[in-house]
This record gives sequence, structure tokens and C-alpha cells, in this order.
Amino acid sequence: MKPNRVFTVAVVVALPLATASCSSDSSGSDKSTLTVLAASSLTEAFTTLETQYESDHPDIDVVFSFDSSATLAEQVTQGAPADVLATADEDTMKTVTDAGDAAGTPQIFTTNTMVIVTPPDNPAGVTDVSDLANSSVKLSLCDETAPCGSAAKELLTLDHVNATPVSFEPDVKSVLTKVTLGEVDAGIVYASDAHTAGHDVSTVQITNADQVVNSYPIAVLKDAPQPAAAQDWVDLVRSSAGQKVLANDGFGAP
Amino acid sequence: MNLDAHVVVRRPGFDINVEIQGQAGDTVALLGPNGAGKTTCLRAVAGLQPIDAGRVLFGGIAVEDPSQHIRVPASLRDVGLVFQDHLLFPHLSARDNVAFGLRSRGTRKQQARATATAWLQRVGIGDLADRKPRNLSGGQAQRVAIARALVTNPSLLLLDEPLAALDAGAKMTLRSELRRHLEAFPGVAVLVTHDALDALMLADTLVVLDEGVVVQRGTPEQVSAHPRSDHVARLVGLNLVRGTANGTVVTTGSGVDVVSATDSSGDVFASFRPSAVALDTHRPTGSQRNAWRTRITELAPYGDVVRLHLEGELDLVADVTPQAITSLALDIGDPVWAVVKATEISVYPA
Amino acid sequence: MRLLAPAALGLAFLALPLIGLLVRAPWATLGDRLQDPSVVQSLRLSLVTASTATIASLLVGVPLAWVLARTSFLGRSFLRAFITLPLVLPPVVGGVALFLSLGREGYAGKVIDDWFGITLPFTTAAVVLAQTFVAMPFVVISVEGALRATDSRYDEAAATLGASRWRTFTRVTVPLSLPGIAAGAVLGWARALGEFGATIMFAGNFPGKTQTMPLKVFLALQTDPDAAIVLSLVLLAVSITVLAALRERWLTGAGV
Repeated sequence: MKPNRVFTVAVVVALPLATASCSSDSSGSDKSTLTVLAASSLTEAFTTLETQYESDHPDIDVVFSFDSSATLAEQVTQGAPADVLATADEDTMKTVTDAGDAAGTPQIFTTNTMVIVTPPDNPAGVTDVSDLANSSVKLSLCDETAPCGSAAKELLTLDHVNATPVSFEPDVKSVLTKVTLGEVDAGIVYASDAHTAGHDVSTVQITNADQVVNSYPIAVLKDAPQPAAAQDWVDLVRSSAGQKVLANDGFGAP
Repeated sequence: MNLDAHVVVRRPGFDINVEIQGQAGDTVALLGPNGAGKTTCLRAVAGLQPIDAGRVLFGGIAVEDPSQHIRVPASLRDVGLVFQDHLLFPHLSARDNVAFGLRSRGTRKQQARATATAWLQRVGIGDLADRKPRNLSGGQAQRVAIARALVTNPSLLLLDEPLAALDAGAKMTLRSELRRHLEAFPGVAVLVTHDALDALMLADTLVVLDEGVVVQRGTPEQVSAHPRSDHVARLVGLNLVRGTANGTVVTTGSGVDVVSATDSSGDVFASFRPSAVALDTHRPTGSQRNAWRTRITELAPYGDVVRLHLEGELDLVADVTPQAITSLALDIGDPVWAVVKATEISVYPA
Repeated sequence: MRLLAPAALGLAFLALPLIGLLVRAPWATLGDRLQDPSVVQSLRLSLVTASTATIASLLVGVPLAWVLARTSFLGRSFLRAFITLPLVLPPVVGGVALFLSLGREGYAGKVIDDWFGITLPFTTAAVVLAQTFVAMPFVVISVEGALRATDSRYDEAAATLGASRWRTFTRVTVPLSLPGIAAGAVLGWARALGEFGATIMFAGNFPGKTQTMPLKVFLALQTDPDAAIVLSLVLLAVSITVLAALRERWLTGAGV
């Protein structure tokens, strides 16, 4: 008897939450939706731009899906309905264009370089990328399948650092979370992530970081339900207003 | 080791307040209608049911006394319990079931199994030692249950309607065997039953319960000859009436007179056998007889007589010959006079 | 007849995704892919951790279920609800909770680190912990049901025969409830095997140490869907083999 009651309570609690997320999509039937898929490193910047876009386009509600670029690209090639895709590197975008799911040529709108972040008190005393080779330093990296992972690997090879992480995370935000929770001593993330994390982390520059640059392409998708609105978004991102927001968050120029 | 138990258990309907005593070698039978509290008393003595007041003494030592905060748990009381539906462990063989009590008390496996096998032979089913309970008949299983309870030589043996779940044939056989075991058993045995034959054949003392209290105590002969409750009366097959005596006349609460051959006064029981009831379609004459107006409510063969249930001035059971039925052309619903000679009526104080 | 149609529908619903896997599998390259040592490595890790988690769940869960089924005290229903919490908690949330408690900076983990120098996250032990966290409720609830269905009068019979509570539990209660306990263990094992969210959060992802099959499938899906399908098929085959090997008699109790 009792387990049934638990499940009933669980369902009762879950229902409002489920419907709440639904209602935010369809708040007002006169508004149309613009679906933007973006790499998780773009979370803060794009959210800031959402406000501006929605004040310029009162009839459009922008909805984001922030995830690892690889996951998003996979979803697009599998037919997920979306208007815009912005990835953290060109290889990932290539899988989408190769599949013919992009409308036109993707444009590079920003760049990002990699930095080391540590918990604010830097418990392992990391001052240089070579410290990461130390086995007592708990390091977290993105998995190779994600753009931040392949970039980090490239950079470490360039600097001749043989580092073994304790965990390969599926996306860069997970790496950041492990660092801010204090569960790892260091992680390699984007400069933009370090910037937005602010006082939650300490940042250490990596030698030759400027040699490994992630170029972020953005593209309107071929089967976009709102192609005009999608293009508007791309234009906003590439405009000086958009570029200013990105620069503010630690991104580099395209 | 003797038993001295005063069991008080508070229940929503009625409280149970029963005293049971027994000397070593005695068999005490608890009799009474369903729900009277017999099983509760047994469980209380076993330690499976806590008592709210009173105390339970084994050999003079308290195993339970709420006023002194004494309560010895069931597993530490030296009792053996035989349940109505044997409750043999389904996953163990007969031998391992019997050995269980020995193993629990630390006997080594080999020794325990040997003793168990010996006991199974003693109860006549040594060749079934390896069988699981589901492959035993009711009678066989109950034999195993008895062996299981006795193997640890308990000081107190408790049996909760041990023969109730058996068919008539098995019941008769097992009753005789149980009688042998109980006679040989050196401790106190307490037997709960609703079967008169069990009580009469197996017990030294009868304790009759009704609604949680003792209504009669005595030897089987005393109790069955002079029952003080409907339940026992029916059990031993007697008609029982209660009333106030004035000389030879007993007047029931509803004003019906029962005339006997003995003088008495005050609150009394009057009982007579069903075979002492004669039937007539006309009111009989003669003051030495009782005659009550009744109607036949049930009629069925009973051995070589016909047993009738009569309701009217008195509710009676009458046993008459089949010839009487046919000669009077009696059937259910017929009005009939129930006639009993005064000399057939036994009167004794309530 | 009226029950067959919905039953068939349910079966189809479950079968369709599985059939999809079989249809899309890269049968041509299957042989080569299976030879990849990392596949065997993560499969072995998955099986070892799931089995360990199941054993841990039983060791702690069966006594817990006994308390729920055989005793009565104020707050028992609250305790039961509390135990089933991991069932309604999204696994990732479970992972975060494990971090906050047993992580290096967690309130309990900090103590463990200071006293024993052991940190739990990112270890194989962490995988077992995460899996136990999600599997234990299944075990507890199944076993509680099995214990309730077992006649407690056998416990009484054992007591009158002089058996202590522990002896009664091990020699009578558990053997009689074994089918239910087995079913609970199977359920827990299956849940542990498939666990992803809490594992990737708390134990992280490192081949050979914490990269279980579900994690490997997820990551493979990003770049090489065919590899993901192969891994999924392997997991499926192993699970079906184990479940089929558990004889129905043991799980349904027929014959006890």
C-alpha cells in the first residue's frame, strides 16, 4: 500500500514541474518560437542577447538548448527541429553541413581559447600547465568527442605535458562544475567559462594558448521553422552589439 | 515443574482474565466457543502475546510479570508448541523440522538429526524423515509437529487445537497417539480444543472459557455431567436450562416451569439428555412429567435415531426413534409437545 | 481476449526500440568492433560494479526491509518514503547529492579524507556507490513485499523452538522469502547496470576505472553512432543472458 502512495505523491509533484516547462514554451499562442541550439560555453552570452532580441522582436520567444556541441550536432542530423546551431568548433559543424542540414555556409562569429581553472584557493598550487603532469593534481578535462576536449588535448601535446585526468567530462560546463565544487584541483576550460565563473575559480594562463583557437561557427538550419527570425538572430550575434556581449564574456574576436 | 498462570489481556471487545494451574504430569484442556480467548491464553503462556496484568510462573519462577517489568521472550521459555495447522517449515524436511529446536539450542548437527530421526520413528513415520511437509498428509504432518515440540523435552507443552484440521479417520488415530504421548509427558500440558472427545479423552482438568473468563472448572466427568454453559452442554450433548428453584420446580427467566425429582433452591441449572425427550401431538396428562409446547425447526438422522431441534417454550434437542417420527407423522414446522419425566432432570447449583 | 490486445501493445512498445537496434546494427563490422579491448574493459567494469552494488544493496537492504515489514514504530511510513527517494530523484541530482555528501569537499567525505586519506569521487568505488544509491530502493521494496507475503507465524514457531531473532531471520524468514529477495536483487542489478546520471556526475568518466558501458555508449553516440549501437547490443545480450539464466522457478517461488 505505502509504496503506491509514494509514487502517487511523486507523480503529483512531478506534474506541475512538467507542465511548467511546457507552458514556458507556449506562453501565449500569438508568440512564435525560435529554437537555438548552442554549445554550453555560449550559455551566458546568448542568454544576455536573448533579452535584446526579444525586445526587438516582441512576437518571438527564444528557446535555448545548451549542450555539448557534439550532442547538438547529432540531434540535428537525426532530425531534431531547430532554427539555429552554434558550435564550439568547426569540425562539429562540419558533420552537420556534410549531412546537408545547414542552410548556406556557416559563419565564424567568435573564438575561444583555453585556460586552466582551479578552485579559488588553488589547493594544488597550480601555476603553470606543466604542473598538470603531476600525478597528485586531480585534473578534469572534456572528453575528446567534445570540441573543448580535442582542443585541450592539442594544447597539452603542444606544450609537451603528459597529464592524466581523473575524469573525461561530456561537456565543458561539467568540467567547470567539478572545479567550482572543489572536487578536482584543476580543469581546462574556455576563457569565456573562466570569465563568467568569476570569483568561483582562479585562472591560470596556458603557454601557447593562442595557438589553439576554437572558432565558433553559427548557421541557420535547412529545415528551420522560422528562417527569417533565425537569420535575424545570426545577424544580431555578428553585429557589434552581439560581439560586445561576447567580448564581455571573455570570448575572442572572430 | 508446575504452571501457575494468571493471564489478563485487554481487548477492544472484552478483557481476558483467566487463571490456569497445572501440576507436572497434568493435562489441562481449555474449552469454549470461538473468540472466547482460549488461543490468546495459550499464546500468552508461550510468550507470543504479552499480558497486560497478572503473571505467569513456571515452577514458581516468574517468566512474565508486568508489575515487575519481567518478560522472558518466547525463545527463552522452556515450552513446546503444537499449532493447529502444524506450521512445519516448508523449506525443511521432516527430520530437519524436528531437529530445528535442538539446533537452535546448540546441539551439533549430527546429534540433532539422529535424535530427530529417533523421534520420528517414535511417532511412527521414521521412513518419511526426508520428506518435505508438502508431501505429507495432514495426520503425518501433525505427527511431525508433535515430535518437533517434544524433542527438546520442554517443561510445558502447549497444543492449539492440534486435531482440528484433520479428517475424521486421522483425528481418531492421532487422538489415541496423543493420549499416549500426553500420559508419558512429565511436564504440564495445556490443550486448547473445541472437541468434546479431545477434552474427555485427553485431559485431567477442564477449564471452560466464555467471553474471556472462566465459567467452569473441573474434571471432564464433573463438567460434562453438570455443564454450566450452553457451549459445553451442546458439546457434551445435553439440554441445559437455567432458572430459580423452589422445591422441585425450577422457573426459567421467561417463566417456564421445569419439574425435577430433587429439591433445591436459588439459582440453578437443570439438564437432561436428548434421549429423555419424548414427543406427543397432544398435551399429555400426569404431573410427574414436564410438557412444553414447541415447534420442530430441524430434523435429521443421527446414528440410529432422529435428532430434532425444537423451539418454543424451551429450545431443546430431542433424540427419537424413526418409528416415532413416522407414527406421529412429524415434519419440520409441526407443533409438538416435548415431554420429559421429572426423574430424568438433573438439577445443580449455578 | 480483451486483455490480450493491450498486452500485445505493451509488448510491441517495448520491442520496437530493441528491434530498431538490431536493424541498424553494423553487422558487417561487428566482429572487428567487438575485438576492441576497450569494449571488453568497460563491459567487465559494468558487470563487476553492478554485481558489487547489488550485493551491497542486499546486505543493507534486506535487514532494512525486515525492519519495515516486521516491526512497527512511529514514523515507519516516513522511513519507507525516504528509502524510495532515490527512485523519484533524477539520477543526476542523486549524483550531485553524492558529491555534496561524499565528495572531497562534502561534509562526510571531508571527514573520510582527513581521517583515512581516501577520496571517493572518480574511483571505481564511487561507481559502486552511485549504483547502490539508485538500486537499493528496488531491492528494499521488493524484499519488503516478499517478507510481508511470508507468514510471520513461522517466525513464531521458530521462536517457540528456541531460535534467536537472528537465527529465525537467517534460517526461516530469509529462506522462505528467497524468491522475492532474488527478484529484488535482479531488479536492483538491472538498474545498477544501466545507471548513468549519478555515475557520470559522481564517479566521472575514465576508461577502465569508471567508464561503464552506459557512459561509453553515450560518448560514442557523439561521434560514432555505429559504435554506440554495437555497445548497446552487447549490453542487451549480456542482460538477456543473465535474466534468462535465472530460472523462473526461483523468481516466482513456485515449488516452495
